[in-house]
Formats: sequence, C-alpha cells, structure tokens
Amino acid sequence: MRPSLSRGAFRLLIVSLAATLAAACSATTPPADEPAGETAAADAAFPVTIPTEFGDITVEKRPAKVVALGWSDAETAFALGVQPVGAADWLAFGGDGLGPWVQGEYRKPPAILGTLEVKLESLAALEPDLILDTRASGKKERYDQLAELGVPVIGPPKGGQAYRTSWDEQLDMIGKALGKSQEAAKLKADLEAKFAKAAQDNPSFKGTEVAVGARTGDSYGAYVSGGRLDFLEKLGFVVSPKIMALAGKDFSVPVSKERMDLFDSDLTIMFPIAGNGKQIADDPLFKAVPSVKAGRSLVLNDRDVATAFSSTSVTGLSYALDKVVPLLADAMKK
Amino acid sequence: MSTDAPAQVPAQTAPRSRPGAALSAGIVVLAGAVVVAAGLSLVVGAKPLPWDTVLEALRHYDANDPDHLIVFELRVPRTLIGLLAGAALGLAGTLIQGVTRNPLADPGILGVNAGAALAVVFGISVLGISSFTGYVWFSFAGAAVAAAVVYAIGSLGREGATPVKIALAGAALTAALESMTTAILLTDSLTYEEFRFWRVGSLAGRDGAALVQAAPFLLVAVVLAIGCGRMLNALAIGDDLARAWGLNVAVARGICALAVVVLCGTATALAGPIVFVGLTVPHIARRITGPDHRWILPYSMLIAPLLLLVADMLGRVVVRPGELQAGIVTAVLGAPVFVAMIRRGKQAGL
Repeated sequence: MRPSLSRGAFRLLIVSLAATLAAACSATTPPADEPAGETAAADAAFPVTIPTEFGDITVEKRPAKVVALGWSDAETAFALGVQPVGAADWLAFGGDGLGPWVQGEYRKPPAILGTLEVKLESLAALEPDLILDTRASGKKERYDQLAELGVPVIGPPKGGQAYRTSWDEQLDMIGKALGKSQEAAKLKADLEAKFAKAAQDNPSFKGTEVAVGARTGDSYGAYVSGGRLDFLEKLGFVVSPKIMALAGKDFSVPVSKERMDLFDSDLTIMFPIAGNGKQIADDPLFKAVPSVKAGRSLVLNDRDVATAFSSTSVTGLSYALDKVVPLLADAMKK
Repeated sequence: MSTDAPAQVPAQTAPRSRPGAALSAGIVVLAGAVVVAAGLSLVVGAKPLPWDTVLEALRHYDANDPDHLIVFELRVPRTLIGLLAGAALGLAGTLIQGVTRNPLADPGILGVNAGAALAVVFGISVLGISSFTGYVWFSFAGAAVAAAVVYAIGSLGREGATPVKIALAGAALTAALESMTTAILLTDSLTYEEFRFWRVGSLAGRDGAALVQAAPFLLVAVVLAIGCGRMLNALAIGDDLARAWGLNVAVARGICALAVVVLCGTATALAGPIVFVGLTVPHIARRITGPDHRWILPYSMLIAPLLLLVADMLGRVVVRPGELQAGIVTAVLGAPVFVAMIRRGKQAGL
C-alpha cells in the first residue's frame, strides 16, 4: 500500500527533526576518522562530476561518511578501502551485510538501512555526506526521497534502471565518487585478467553452447541476458541460440516443463532459487534433458556461489570465478 | 426474474424444470464432453505431441522417452486434478448459493478459502510444511474451522442462522483471516515464495500423492453433495415453508456446510484457490436445468471440470513456451461471462 499523504508528511517531519538532532549532536563529536594514508594529491580527485540517470552529480570533497544503499554498493566501497556508515543488505547476509567471501571486517559495522524501502529516519541520523545508490530500481521517487537530505546521491548510470548496472559500471562510479579511481581501475583489471586466465586455461569453454536456467517454486525460466550470462560469455561460452530466439525484454523467459528440451545444449546450467537445487536434480523432466542425461549439466546448489552471482559485485564475481570454473571444467569433461 | 427481485421467490413463479428425459440426455452429452476434454488435455500442451505418441505413452510407458514423461508426469496428473477440483468447485458453488440463497455467493463468502489459505500459510511458515500432501490437511482444517466460526457467528441472535447473517459473518471473517495471512507473509519471505505459487490456482506441478489422499474425501463429499438436492429445493422456498414441509433446517444447512468444507478444502489444496468456477458454473447449470437442485448439482459437477480443463488447455498454449496458470485463465474468462450473465439478468432464481 502506498503511504497516505499525511503519513508522507509525517515522515518528512521526522526526517528533518532527526537531521537537526543529528547535526546538533555531531557538532560536539570529533570529525570522522579518515582512512590512513590519504595524501593531498589524492584529493586532487575532487571535485568530481559523475553522470547518472538523474543528471550529473558533483561530489565537492572527499566524503567522510558514506552511506551505500544500492545492490552491492557497500561491498564495492569496502573493496575500495572505504567503510560505509550505513548499508543495505540486499542478499540478506545478515550482520554487517557483506558477502561471506569478503576479506576483512568493518571497524564499526554499518547501520543496515533497508533495501526496497530505505529507513529514512535512520539514514538522516547518520548524517552522511555521500549516498551511493548505483544499482537500484532507478525510480525517480526513490532518488527524490534520498536527494531531500541535501547530499550528493549517486544513482544508477543512464539506462541503469531495474538493477541493470553492471559490476564494472558500479565499480567505476563508486571509485570516482570516493576518490579511489586508481584502486577501482586496478580491481577491474585484476578481475578481467582473472577471467582471461580462466578462459585461457580452459580452451574447451570457447564456443561451447550453454543453456542457463533457474527454477523458482515449481516453474523454470531460461536466462536470455544479465550478469550470469555475461560471466559465462567472458569465459568463452555462447548462449544457446535456441534460447536466445525466445528473448524478450526481460532477463529470462518462462519455460513450461513440457519444453525442457529447450535446455538441451552442449552444457546445461541451472541456478536454484531459494535453495531448491535438490528439486531440480530430482525432477524427472530435468533428468530427461539429453545433455543432463549425458552428465553435461551443472546445478549450482552452493548457496554462497549462487549469491556471489547474484551480488554481481567485483568481489562476488571473483569468488564465483574461483568456485565455478573447476565445476564447469568437470562438467565439460563428460 | 430480474436481478433486483428478492432472492426468495415462491416456487411456483420460478421457471419450470425441463422434462426429465431431456435433462438425462443432457447429462450424457455433458459427460461425453468431459471425457473428450480430458482426452484433449492429454494431447494439447506447450509442446505439441501427436496423438499416436500420447497413446503410445499410455499403452507402453517408457520412462526414458521425454515425450512419455511429459504425458505421464505432467498431463495425466493435471488432467485428473482438473476433473476432481473442477467437480468439487462446481458442487461447492451450487451448495453455497443454495444454502445462502445468494446467487452471488462463492466459497470466498463463507470465509472457507480464506481459512484454508491461512492454515496453509501457517503450516508452511511455523511448521515448515512444504509438500502438497501436507497442504491438504491444513487446507481442510482451515476451511472447516472458518466455516464453523462463520456458522456460529451467523447463528447468534434469535432468528438463528439466516442467510444474510451468515454472509455478513463470512465477509467479516474473510477480511480478518486475510490480514492475518498477509501479516505472516510479510514477515517471512521464504514462506511467501512457497505460497506465491500455491496461491495462484494451477493444475500444473501439483503432487500426485495429494491426488491419492484427496480422492476418498472427494468421493464422500460428492455423494453427500448430490444427495443435498432435495434439501436445497426445500431451503429455496424459505426457512418457514421448509420447516412446514418437514425439513430440519439447521441439520440440512449443517450437512450442506460439511460437504462444502470438504469440497473446497480438497479443491483448494489440490489446485490452489481457483476463482469464478464455483461462482459461474451454477448459473450456467441453472439456465439449462431450471431451479431443481437435483439437476443443478450433477450439471454443475460436469460443467465445472469441463470449464477448468478448457481453461488449463488455453493456459498451456497462449504464452508458449511458458504457461499461464489455470486460475488466471478462469479469472480472465470467467469475469466477463459472469458480468454478461448478471447484466442480462436472466439467471434463474434460487
């Protein structure tokens, strides 16, 4: 249900009250600790202007209190050596909201501020000087709500609605906003090199057709675009033309259980949703798909690996690469 | 009769029943149509299979042939579920409309579906039930408790359980139960995932074991429901006249309610809540048979599965290579048909 007008007004009031209070309190506290080793030269990075879906946003000076609300924004900032004071736990990791593959720990765990609906009161109380929201719904209302705090909000890149921001776009934008472009470029180059090496070490991947699907509840869908396919394509795989012929404007197309033959390919990969991998493996109709029958299939049942794909973050994908490449290589041997 | 006339119409002004021979012939024709639809339901699908492949699968089942798997694992169970759930919904709708003397009554009105849904959600969320065999029992229990509570609330006061009071109690309880269901779903995303698929009525992907468990209940309830025809005829002329006619009104309503609970609970557990079938089918049946419930009941029992199977078959072919759930198709098809019937104002009196 949409909040009524009066509820919205009430919320606004609370937000501004909280902001005032927070400002009053923080005036007496010492300034937030800057990460060690920052030089004056690095601050030549500011001011920086970043083009987003909602216009060019300028960050005037190095932010000290970053809130990261977009999908995997906090993890990306963390990988760049900046610890957000507020974060959103999109993949329900719990705790500090970082994936289990992330090295290192927060000095002070961030406040978890909610995903689809941001806890604006808590957000205002953190008194951030930068809000990251680079992978999000891309809806104007969400941006307007966040922009009300009067600090720069880095929304999705142009055309990046509906969580479509790619891992490198995210890394690039966050790197710029945090004055960590060099670090971002290095992380990106490292991951690209890791992909290239995996592709090189496994020449059998090149040109191999894959059919990639998921099962939610009792129905199957086939992926026709998105991070999972990008990942496989970087390794040299080609998405089955039979499936690409069905592509519409969504990430995936629904596939009736009667048409499981569409998943027949050189290699068939299934992503269970909500841990239903056993249901897939036990489904007689899945087992009857010729490629599955021949053993050329992979059901990615490991929850960490599945969420690493879902994170589509530079760190998550690096972890997925470590875990999945050997599994892919195994499946290809059959 | 026009729609704004009172529901209690003296029996002599209602349309006359057709002669028994014609109606019996109609039953035979309908039964034939159901058999044809069931046959087609084995042949029509997201994947086109030729007749002889289907026959081959039925005669010499080969678990290694993917086409045989489609027939056996998918089409046979969903056809059986369509037949059973359809018959149950058709009968339940007729019973409810007869008992409440409300031509717009459906299992939703008595709070029966809402009760079943809440019990299922409770089962998934709190007790971790995830198989459809588990749902059946929760669905029964929820439907029965909801119906009992509605009947008890509706019976308060001097006049006893009047149709209006029952309908009001049902609507109120439905609202309360639905908000409780929503409350559980909002706080538990995993349950929501499970429930989402059960919630949209569908004949596909349901558990064959649930079918076996539900069958004996359905059999008893169908016999009970068909036997209710005379009681419904008596109730239709009003409680006082029915009493004068020698009917124990409370007992009659109780028997009908019992049949409704078992029919709705089973159909809902098997296929999820499927809308408009229970509401629309009795009206179609009534237009053919006239007001005699002894005919309306068997006609509804045959028309409903026919409708449900056709809806399911449409759902399999309209969005290839995906499928549309039967519950969505019945809503899309049923709503305009129902509105048209109401607007023409030709539905027979109860």
